[in-house]
Amino acid sequence: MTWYLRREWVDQEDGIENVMLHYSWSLPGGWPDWERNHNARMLVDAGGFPRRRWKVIKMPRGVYDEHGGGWSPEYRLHFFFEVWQHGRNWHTDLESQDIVYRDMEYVDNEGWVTHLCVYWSVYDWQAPVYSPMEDPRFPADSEFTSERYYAYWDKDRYSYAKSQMLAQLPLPHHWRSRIWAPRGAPVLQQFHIGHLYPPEETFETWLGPDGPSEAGGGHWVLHL
Amino acid sequence: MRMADGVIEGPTFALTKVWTDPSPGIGLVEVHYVWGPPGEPPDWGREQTAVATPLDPGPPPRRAAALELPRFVDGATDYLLHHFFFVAGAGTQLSTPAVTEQIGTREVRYDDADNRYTNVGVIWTVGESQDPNYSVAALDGLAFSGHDEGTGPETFTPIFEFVQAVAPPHVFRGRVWGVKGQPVTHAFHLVRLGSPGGDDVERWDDNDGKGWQLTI
Repeated sequence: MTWYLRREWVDQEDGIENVMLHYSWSLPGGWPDWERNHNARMLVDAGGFPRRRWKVIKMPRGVYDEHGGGWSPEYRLHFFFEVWQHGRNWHTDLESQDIVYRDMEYVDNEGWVTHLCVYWSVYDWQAPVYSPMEDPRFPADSEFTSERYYAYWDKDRYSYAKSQMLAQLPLPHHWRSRIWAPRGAPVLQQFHIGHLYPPEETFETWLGPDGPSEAGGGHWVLHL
Repeated sequence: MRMADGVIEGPTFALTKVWTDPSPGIGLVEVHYVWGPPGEPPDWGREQTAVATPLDPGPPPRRAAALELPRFVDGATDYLLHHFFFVAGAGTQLSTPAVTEQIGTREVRYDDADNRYTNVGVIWTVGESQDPNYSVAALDGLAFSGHDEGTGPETFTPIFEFVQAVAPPHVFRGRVWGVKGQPVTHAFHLVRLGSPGGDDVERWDDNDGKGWQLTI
């Protein structure tokens, strides 16, 4: 699962026709290599006064460390805006942000939970992500992993089998997943929690610091 | 070698999927999607996801999710997009049947009768999407004037003398991507760079704001 980050631009002057976001990634502390990795996206014109423009960009789970020989889950995002204004184009200064992660855990002492996601979004709820959670003891090659739930067409069969397999795991169940964000940026977060077997007990909710809520309701605010 | 884990390497375009709530109480709508070569079934183990966020409150509420898609799959512009919606809330969770669509391209052409421009770009949106995409158009007779998938800094390389050396009339050709049988709206980005007379110019020709429509 990847994640999403919203970038926004507000026109400070008249005559701006279009704005493009240019961005790249590097290892922590690194500089952008625009020859190897250069992404560019036109911003969506949302109108208003002053005119606002935005784009939700897809973010990686990590970048490749050629010296270390593996994936680095933390990295650096580099970006600038290209602005077309009054028949000319100009660029903003390069900005860089450290992207860091946190491993999230939900401890289920009773074994009641059958489905669980972290529901989260950076800055506000306009670029949300559902990250399926799993107890690391659950077999990764099973057809009933959390990530396989969505494309599993017989949901009743899945929920039955998942609950039976979870019942074999000693309590408590440690549901885990990972989230990312620019360092210090607010991350809004809930747990989307489900008890989907047996059918007569089906229950789901979005859990925040004040208890059950609706999606985007009561939530924690984290800073990674 | 991949540089970033989980994102598309290379040029992409945005395609919006819209969902209308059929009943109250829905808390989550998510698009799950995957692409692959023609003739092959979807491999949901490689799926991407995008949460559908409120588009308008309705009633009934509508939500939209922007899908990020590659312009090339195994080097080809024609491929299959498979998607379904996952819906939760109101006491149920379900996945809609998967839908398969054909992704393809169409060529767009700009005739520069006055040989005025050095670079031409195409800005385009797919269907009802407000999410714009950008392609570079290539000048006939000037092989290195641009790449149709390019969106980087090479877009605005000043090549005035090279362009002037091409015999008129100047014809720029670019490509737009979308779903076969569905509309694409486009406009032109017209650039004159590196002119010795100092009369460089940059403008957007969008048919008085309406753009031009074609069908993929």
